[in-house]
Amino acid sequence: MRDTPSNRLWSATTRLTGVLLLTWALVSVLGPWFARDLNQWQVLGFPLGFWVAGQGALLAYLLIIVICIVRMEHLEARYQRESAERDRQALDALAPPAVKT
Amino acid sequence: MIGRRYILFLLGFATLLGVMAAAESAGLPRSWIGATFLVVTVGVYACIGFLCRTADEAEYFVAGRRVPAMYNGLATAADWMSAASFIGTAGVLYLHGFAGLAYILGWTGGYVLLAVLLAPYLRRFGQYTVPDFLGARYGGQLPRSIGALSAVAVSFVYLVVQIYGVGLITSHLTGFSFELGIFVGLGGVLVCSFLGGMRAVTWTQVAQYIVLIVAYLVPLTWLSVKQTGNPLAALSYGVQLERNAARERQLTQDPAELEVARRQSELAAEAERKLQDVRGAMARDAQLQTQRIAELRAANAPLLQVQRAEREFVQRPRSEDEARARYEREHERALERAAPLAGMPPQTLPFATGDPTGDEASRQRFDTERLNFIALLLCLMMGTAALPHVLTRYYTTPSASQARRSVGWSLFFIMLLYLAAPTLAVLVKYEVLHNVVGLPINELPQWVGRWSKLDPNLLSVRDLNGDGLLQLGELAIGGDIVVLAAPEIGGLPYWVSCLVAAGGLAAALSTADGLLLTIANSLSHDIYFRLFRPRAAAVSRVIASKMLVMVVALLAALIAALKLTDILQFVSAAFSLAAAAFFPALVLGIFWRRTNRAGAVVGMLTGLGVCSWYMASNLPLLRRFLGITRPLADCQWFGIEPIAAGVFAVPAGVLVMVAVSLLTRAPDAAQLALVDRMRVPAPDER
Repeated sequence: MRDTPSNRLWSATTRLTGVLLLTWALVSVLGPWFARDLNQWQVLGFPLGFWVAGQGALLAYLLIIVICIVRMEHLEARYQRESAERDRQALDALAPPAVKT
Repeated sequence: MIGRRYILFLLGFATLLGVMAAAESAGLPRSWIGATFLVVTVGVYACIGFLCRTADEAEYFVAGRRVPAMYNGLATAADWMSAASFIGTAGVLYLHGFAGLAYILGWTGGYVLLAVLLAPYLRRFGQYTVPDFLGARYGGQLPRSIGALSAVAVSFVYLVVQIYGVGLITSHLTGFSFELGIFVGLGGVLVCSFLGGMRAVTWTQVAQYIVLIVAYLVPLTWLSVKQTGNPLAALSYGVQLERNAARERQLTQDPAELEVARRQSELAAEAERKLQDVRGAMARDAQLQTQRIAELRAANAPLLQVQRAEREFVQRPRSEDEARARYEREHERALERAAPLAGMPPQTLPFATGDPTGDEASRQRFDTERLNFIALLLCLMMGTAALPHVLTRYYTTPSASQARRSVGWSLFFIMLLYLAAPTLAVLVKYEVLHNVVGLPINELPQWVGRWSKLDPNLLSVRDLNGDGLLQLGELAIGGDIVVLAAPEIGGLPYWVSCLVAAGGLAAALSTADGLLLTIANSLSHDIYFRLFRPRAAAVSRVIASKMLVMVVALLAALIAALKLTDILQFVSAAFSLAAAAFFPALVLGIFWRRTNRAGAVVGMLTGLGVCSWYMASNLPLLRRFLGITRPLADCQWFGIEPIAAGVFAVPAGVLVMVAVSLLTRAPDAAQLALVDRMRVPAPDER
């Protein structure tokens, strides 16, 4: 794959998407799966397994989305900078700067 | 500017609450308070709809694409939270404990999928509907048509249930009949979506969110302060959980409760005997009922008792099928209620039907319940991310990154209610276990009589052991009234009950608005315009959509007026169907360039086919309708309930989509260019 700003953005995006989806899947499946075992511990006065499924996982979902927003906006801003830079270079290559008199 | 208007609205709403509270203590009749809440809230929605009227295409279909992320989040939250979320969730948690959390998880976790996989990309694609994307990405008319028809089918089932909810709440608020309630509520829906399309619906939904969240949090906070002294209910209800658990332990040992449970098993056995000879049992029942009415009259019993007995006689089943269904229901219910705590599992115990340390059978039950919990929550998540009326909301933001932020806001506003639902369930249970159970039967609070008169399925009390006291096992509460009756159960003033009803109405109306628009747009934009009249002018498309809004709304109202209670089981099924139809085609369309038309079409049809087939062979209603006689146990795969059919349908759809795509020609250059354009921001984006 050519190393262009758009390819760089897309491969970073898919990597981030993979990590976020994996976290999402772990939270969604492991939390409830082991809820019975987690219930032996207490958090904030709740049995842990019940708390994870009723509140903890929801907070985790919000956190995942916030990370997604922050990282993606960062990546897209970098892409905009890089592609603007590339366009400028391409233009420069087309028309060499006028010689100063 | 917008912010100031909604702050004014919030202040106005708070004033309304204050005035109503004052009016109640000054002795304003109850029906007036209920009617005021109905008229004022629906009136405000209608005004917003009227002010936002439009005939412009982009305004009508996607609110001009200038809804800021936070407001779109508010509107999505209202769009998303249906009558079932508002009224039903806390009820499910009250009755089924941990098992109900699958809904809480599923309906929030889906937003992760939306933010990460779908919303920003679909927004960058642009256009007006979800089938638009399928049409452009895969080319040809088939993917678009399958998408449009699935969107209509899924949304319509959902719409009927919302309108049913509207009718129920309107009649509860005003005392109108159910049918009249439907049409009054329908007026509120139509004014918005008919006049102003997406634009009017968006701004109305923001106001409806404010109403519904206030209506949910006010009684919750009030109950919490009353019970624990802490206004932050969601953080502090652990104490109440423990008190409930202690009380539950005490009740499971209570001799009177054990006696009631024994009576329930006798009733179950009796219903089973009746099922052996349905005709005979019908005749005997009718005879017993007339005899009882005569006895009551002779003994000059209170009028209420006579009337109740007469009502029972009038409403007795007339045909053998009806009677059989009723005896089956009686059998099932009595069997359920013969279990400890009237069949309610301990609130925090996961997968309570089984025990991982018990014998073989109970280990099996534990594993099946756990598997079903995970399967259901995955289906709900994929369905949430694929429901067309939610996806279209993200077309209305100014840019892709605003769409992504908007998903975050949506989840935030939705969470406020979903964190509150388990809390409300526990606080209401506390009231019932501590302050209602144990009261003398003829000194029960007023709400018991009122709700049981409205519908015995919602609430019924029967002194089974004849001790004159109410045992937990003698009180049957339907899930639907846990929220609606919460203020009365907790002894709060009547205006709070009206506020809760107004909130439920806002939830039902906002979802109905969004669904109605999705259906009308699919029919007018994707089918009429794209398939039959590609040269129709923008104005005539908007007019066609408006006409369809009317027709679809009336049709849905007519079906809702039939009170087909069986339709409720199809709502959760709608999630599996939506997931099967849209999820693989949308996600692969964005993330895998090689997906082509043939793959998408065959994959979507496979998903829909697997899903429908699994439901048809497992849902009792459809089995009877289609005459499927194969034993249920043979039809189930891994013991998964039909409601979670999506866990099979989505992977099947993905597999077929990948295989067929690889076997056929790669997508053409225009389609590939579309994929590339969706993946990166345009130079002038944001």
